[in-house]
Amino acid sequence: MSDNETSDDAALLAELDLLLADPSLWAEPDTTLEDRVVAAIAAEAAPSSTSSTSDYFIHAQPSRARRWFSVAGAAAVGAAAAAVLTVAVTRDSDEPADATVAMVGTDLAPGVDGEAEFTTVSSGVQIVLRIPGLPRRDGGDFYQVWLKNCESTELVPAGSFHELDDAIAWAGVDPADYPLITVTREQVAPPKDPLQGSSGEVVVAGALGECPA
Amino acid sequence: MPPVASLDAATVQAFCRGDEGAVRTVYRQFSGLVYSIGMRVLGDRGLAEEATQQTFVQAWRHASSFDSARELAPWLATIARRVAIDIHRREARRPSSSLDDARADDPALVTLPANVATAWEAGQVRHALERLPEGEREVVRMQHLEGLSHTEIAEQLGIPVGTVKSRSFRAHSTLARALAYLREDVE
Repeated sequence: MSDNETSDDAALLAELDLLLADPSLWAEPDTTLEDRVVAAIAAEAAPSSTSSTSDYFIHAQPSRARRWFSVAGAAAVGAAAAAVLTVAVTRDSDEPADATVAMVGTDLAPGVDGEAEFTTVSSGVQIVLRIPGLPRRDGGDFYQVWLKNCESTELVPAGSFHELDDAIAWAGVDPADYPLITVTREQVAPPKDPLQGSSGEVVVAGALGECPA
Repeated sequence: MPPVASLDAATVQAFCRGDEGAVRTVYRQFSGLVYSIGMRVLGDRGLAEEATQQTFVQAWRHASSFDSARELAPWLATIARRVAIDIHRREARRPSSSLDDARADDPALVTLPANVATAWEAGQVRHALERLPEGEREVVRMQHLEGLSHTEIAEQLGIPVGTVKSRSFRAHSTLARALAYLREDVE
């Protein structure tokens, strides 16, 4: 390195000194962020988000969305589907749909498990959730329960909660048409804000039977 | 010109295809760059993490339009800056007196923080720092962030002053070479 180059280096580093002295330059993100990013992409690809850009992407690249759902999204939903405790559903229109589904924690809630009990009554489907171990969420943070169809193209909200140790969710759809159940972490947001949709941060998931491949 | 890509083309292409392993590899390689841009613009860890997550999701969404022969860092940095600005605008709008009546899409209502101007450079510096050997990066951090002298650094690390000086020289030389392409931007 010549003297001129050394001088240029020093000048450059002097100019960058303010940046190097800024604590934000050295800050590290939370160690769980990597898993959250992976989970968000998986959930995004399984078109659960209601944001306009998400809709655009899903419509533009449906094959990729399905591939991600089968590969990454299946880590949550597929694992739960394999662990279904009981599927005692007789889809006779005269009978209520009663089933108990195993709920399995994703990478965002490792080790958490529980169950969801489905009972169809005239006003809708009642879902009793018993999922201990999830930390309580308050102050504008909450859990949201969703039902999804097998194609993950339609998402139905089933209630928001502080905790899910013993909670009752309701949905006005037929669980046979929306057999996937997920719980996401959410935050209060203004009307029309994209945050009103699913955050994609699925913490627990289950499936009322298997979806077609 | 930015430095040559440190990720192989196969990994970049796998990221574009949406391979989870490649997503993790890209995250580990570039999360510092993306996160530092979020921190620079937003100044809040939680919001910067949100910006980081959104950046990687958006990058994946639009990966099909990315030329895998190009450098990934500037592309991610551009997305990260845009995402951080969007989040800043959203946060600036939150204290609205009427949620239903708020003109949420009026950009004139939001003033961007001064740090936005140097956010891209901050990301590039962070990316260069992360490619330094751990021992050299630590010396740079103590020197610039904590304002310590070579002697003080040597005492804290329990190593000879000469070793601190040589690490500092190598680190700064490496940074100067890696970041020379920024010079016209910071002058």
